[in-house]
Amino acid sequence: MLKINDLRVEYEKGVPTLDHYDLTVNEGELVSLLGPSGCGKTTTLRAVAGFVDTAGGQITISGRDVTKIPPNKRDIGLVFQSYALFPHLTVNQNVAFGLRMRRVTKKDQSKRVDEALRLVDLEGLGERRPAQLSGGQQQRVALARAVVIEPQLLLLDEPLSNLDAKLRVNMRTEIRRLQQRLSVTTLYVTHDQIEALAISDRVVVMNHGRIEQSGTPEEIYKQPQTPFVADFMGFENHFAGTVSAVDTDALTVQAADTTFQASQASGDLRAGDEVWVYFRSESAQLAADAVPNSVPVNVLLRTFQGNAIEYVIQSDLGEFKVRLPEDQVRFDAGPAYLSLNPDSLIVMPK
Amino acid sequence: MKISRWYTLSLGIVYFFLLGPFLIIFAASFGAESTLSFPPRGFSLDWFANVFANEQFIRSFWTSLQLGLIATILSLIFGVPVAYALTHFDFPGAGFVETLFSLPILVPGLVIGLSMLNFFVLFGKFDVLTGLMIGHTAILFPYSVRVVSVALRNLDPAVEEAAVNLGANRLRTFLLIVLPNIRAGIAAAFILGFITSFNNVPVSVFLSGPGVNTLPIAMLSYMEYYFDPTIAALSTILIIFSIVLVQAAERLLGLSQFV
Repeated sequence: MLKINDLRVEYEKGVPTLDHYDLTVNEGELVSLLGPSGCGKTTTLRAVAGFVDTAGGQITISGRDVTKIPPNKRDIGLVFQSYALFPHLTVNQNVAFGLRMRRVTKKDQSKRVDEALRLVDLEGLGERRPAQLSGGQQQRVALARAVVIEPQLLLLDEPLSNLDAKLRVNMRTEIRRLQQRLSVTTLYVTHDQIEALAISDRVVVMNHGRIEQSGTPEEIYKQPQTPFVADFMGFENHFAGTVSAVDTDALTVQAADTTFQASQASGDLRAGDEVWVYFRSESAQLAADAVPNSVPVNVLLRTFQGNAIEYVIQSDLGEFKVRLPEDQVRFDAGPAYLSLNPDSLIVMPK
Repeated sequence: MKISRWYTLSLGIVYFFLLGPFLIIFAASFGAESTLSFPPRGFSLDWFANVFANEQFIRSFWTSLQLGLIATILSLIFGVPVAYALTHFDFPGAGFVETLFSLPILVPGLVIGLSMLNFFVLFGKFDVLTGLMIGHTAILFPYSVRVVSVALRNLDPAVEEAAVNLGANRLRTFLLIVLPNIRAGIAAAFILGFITSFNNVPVSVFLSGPGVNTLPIAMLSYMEYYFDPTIAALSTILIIFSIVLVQAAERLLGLSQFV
């Protein structure tokens, strides 16, 4: 289990990159840190690995306080974005390096190296050098090298970003399978939301050194709690409104001249609160006539996108994008109605 | 078309003035006459025999060889840690330190030689050979630092972190991971340093003394008294020696990526 308490990291004195940062990764759980570059996710990982000095707080791994322990004594497996294989050593020697540092006997070393290579499907490539391997194979060596030491914690720093799209999807599945098989506690850093959603038990969205939201992939995808998370998770449309009524499991929002129902528990929202209403371009509908929960719009542009048709529409609430399945009735430029399902609206305080 | 003609012409001019003198020396070293002349008349290998018969040349050659090897090794022993520090730590004044180390490259060799002579006279009672060694180590040091720095910068910092993460301390990381990956750079620094020391005149001329000469100094003094093709023959030998050394290094290590 990894526990980060009130962590503070400063690259420049007095200017914290991370401050009052708390994070827990439970035993055997895979948690990904998701966010744009500069959000502090890599800093967090490097602080846990011991490559970044902490200015305050505490990092505990399996009950052991490692805050002041040097990086070579933390017993953490780490997979780098660039793989960072030792270019002058063979695959076997690369994987054995951690065992060699732990003074494991030669016999046990070769047994465990073989096992680790089998785990990542690289049997028989042990005598090759990193330069003789493909990107995907190098990635597997890096994985084998990190897990062969049976670490208390596995850290992965954007491990797939140097691979091409197809390989990335395959490796993602394999990393997840390996992680579950070894049930190793894992912290995974990525800027790719699809990757994070696919691989994680829990996703932690970060921005400007703070945690915006933490939850299961489904919660993050379906119920973003801040504008940042909504944007990052692909909610392309939003408009401003005011809460006019609060029910146990529904909200009424007034925006321009229109009243919208949103089937969402109010949370901390009260009548009169200024709010943002978010919705995905796929979850909206266009209609020829006014229906409940709809607003008159003007269709500006229609573009064909293969399996979908995308419309750009203008309304009193702003400009929106709507994506409809390709086989639905098409709308020409001109007046129409944007109809929003109460289930698809996410309301959050402004 | 115009550009490519200019290109050819410029290249021709450069080659003419760069290689022309070498070719003249090369041809003259086989001449049969007792004065250095071009074009050479006759053919003779006597001047090559003369080189090996000259005790001054042989003795100074060994001095230069010894000096070159020791000074280069010393410059690396001091230079590698400095290069490591410059590339790994962001300390105040790092830029200043780097400039300081390029000083011997920027300051004319004669000025360095003269200053060192004064310095040694003031502060040290070194014998001639020790003085030469200190002097040469000092002029080679910046080369070592630079070339090794380039090699270190080419090594992905994550590779070192990976070693540390897997349990290696700083020293083991350096010996097991960093050093094997910069050996081509160190070899390049070694060859560059050795050739620089071997060819050096301005510093050696001030620091050499009675009985101890480097080869270039011995050649200079020989030329003050004689003007026969012996010196051309010796030059030919040295040119071939340098070419072989550099070519071998280029083939084996890809020297040019560091310099």
